[in-house]
Amino acid sequence: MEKERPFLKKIDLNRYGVEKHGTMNVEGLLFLDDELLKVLGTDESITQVENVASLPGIVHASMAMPDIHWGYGFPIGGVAAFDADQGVVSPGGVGYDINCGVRLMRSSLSVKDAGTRIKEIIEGFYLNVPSGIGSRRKDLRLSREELRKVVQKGAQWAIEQGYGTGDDLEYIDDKGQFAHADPDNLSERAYERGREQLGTLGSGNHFVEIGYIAEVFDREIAQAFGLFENQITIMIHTGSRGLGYQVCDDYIREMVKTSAKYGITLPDRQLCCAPVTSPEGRAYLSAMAGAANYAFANRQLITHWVRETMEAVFRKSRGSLGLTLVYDVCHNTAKIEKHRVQGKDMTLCVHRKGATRAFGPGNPSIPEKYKAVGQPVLIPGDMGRASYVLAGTKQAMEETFGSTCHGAGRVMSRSQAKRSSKGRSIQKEMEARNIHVRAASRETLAEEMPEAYKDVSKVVRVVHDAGISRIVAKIIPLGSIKG
Amino acid sequence: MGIHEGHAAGYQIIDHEADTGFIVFAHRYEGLFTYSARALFSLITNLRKVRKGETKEVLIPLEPDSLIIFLNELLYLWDADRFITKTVAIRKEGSALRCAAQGEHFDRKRHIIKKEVKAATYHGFSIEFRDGLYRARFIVDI
Repeated sequence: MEKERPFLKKIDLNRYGVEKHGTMNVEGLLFLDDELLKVLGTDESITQVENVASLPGIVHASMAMPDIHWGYGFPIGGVAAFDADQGVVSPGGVGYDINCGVRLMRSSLSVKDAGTRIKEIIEGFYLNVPSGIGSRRKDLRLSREELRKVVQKGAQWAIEQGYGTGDDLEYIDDKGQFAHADPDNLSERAYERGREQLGTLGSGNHFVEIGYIAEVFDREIAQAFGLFENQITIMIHTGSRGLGYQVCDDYIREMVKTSAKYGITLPDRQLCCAPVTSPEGRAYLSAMAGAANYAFANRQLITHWVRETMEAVFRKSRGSLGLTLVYDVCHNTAKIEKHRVQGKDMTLCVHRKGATRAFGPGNPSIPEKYKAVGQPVLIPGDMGRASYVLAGTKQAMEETFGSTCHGAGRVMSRSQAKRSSKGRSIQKEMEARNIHVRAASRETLAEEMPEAYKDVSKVVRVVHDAGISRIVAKIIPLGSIKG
Repeated sequence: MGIHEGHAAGYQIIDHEADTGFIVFAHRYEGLFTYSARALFSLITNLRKVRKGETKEVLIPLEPDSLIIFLNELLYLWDADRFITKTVAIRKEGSALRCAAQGEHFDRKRHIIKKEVKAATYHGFSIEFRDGLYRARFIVDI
């Protein structure tokens, strides 16, 4: 059943607007077609877009991408930018898994080369990449001092320890390091939770997946990204683990109290926030940067073990396997960025919660090699259907602060998914589709079954048709490990 | 769906797309903590396999958000120390709640892990007293 929404107006085939009403400071802008709007049914995600629109200092619009779904406070798939001088920063606008993100590796292997080795590769990933709760590498133990360095340096720390090469850094958002991290602004508890979780995948929708490029939609951009049909790729999806969750919890607990001090009325307490320029706001941004750096280091370590696994399976060096990084994107962050808003240059605190940076051609933040075509945007789908590589566009810079969707978005609750999986073996169903899956938890597998998600092909079609990203290539999964 | 602890006190799962929510019922305010902890850890493991051999004490400030703070404390004990809470005894102590969490440390041979819970959130969190029952509603981030 659809909810009655009198303020929702169709703008075009891929956009809906929410007219300003009540306490909203700006309008809502939803990138949705009719079909994806219908999928939202009675959920609260559009109300959440309206709530975000009422926060102080928000500019242009409270936005939602087509993978929007009901979150807590901010919707998942939400983008909101606040004036860096007059606006706020909200830990709930980033979420608990700070810098949850995706990286994609290319290879010189084709489906023919790897097709018969998938099981062996997946078993190797499962053995080498700690998956599921409580599992960790015995060869990685960190002192507090070392952990502080991880928080400061991000992926650079991992490279210095021999987990990858300097070339990798070039192909990570912000070169794998948010510069303003302050290790002193993370609590003792955050370090305690992070101590044994660096280099672990975690559970839920996190994964390492091997797949192949099934279709190239834009040859010029695919070439710039080093992608071609039938090429084997590896995708890694994880974030900042317990360290990030604790940073978020610490600052939400503080800001729930301080919002009132700054005269901020909250429509939802999970939207608690503080002015960007306040001591609380600045402290959060520096702690969040530290957690983001931890996540970059986490993905870098996993990349290293993925490369080692591939070397062992194919008995070839990573160089001859061509295992290089296409890119690494964050999808849960708040960042200080400069954008042009209604003809005016502004410094903004851009929150992307379940949304990906999608900077267009010519942007100075993009690696030299991709500058002419826009940054790669990596959109994982569900484990059974597809994932996509997109490219950022100029339109995204003008309309969405250079942002786009981040995944498929759930359509089924976890309980629904579990009910629907009763009596079925999701693992066997995947095998029947020639996808080899290993998961630490059967429950995770049930909750993550393909039909629990929207069809990612429909999601990326909306952002492509709206012009805020370009579809470059489609990846079909061959196997994955999940937590 | 269903109330998991007899006719009145206990908990009920709320369907939420990305995460999981609970409505918890108790005859006493303190009981909300006991049943909420049980609801939370029922997501993480099979509590029937968990013994009550160890106790961890936590002190929670008495305030409107005490329940959320308490649940996040238990999640911290789980995430940093791998301590599974099976039951909780609560008593008021001045302006705080003293919570004795009974359970044991995770043992890979005996315990299964169902999923990771990141945090208890403040989104839609409420506590009310109606018809002789305390009711708390909260959503956890999975």
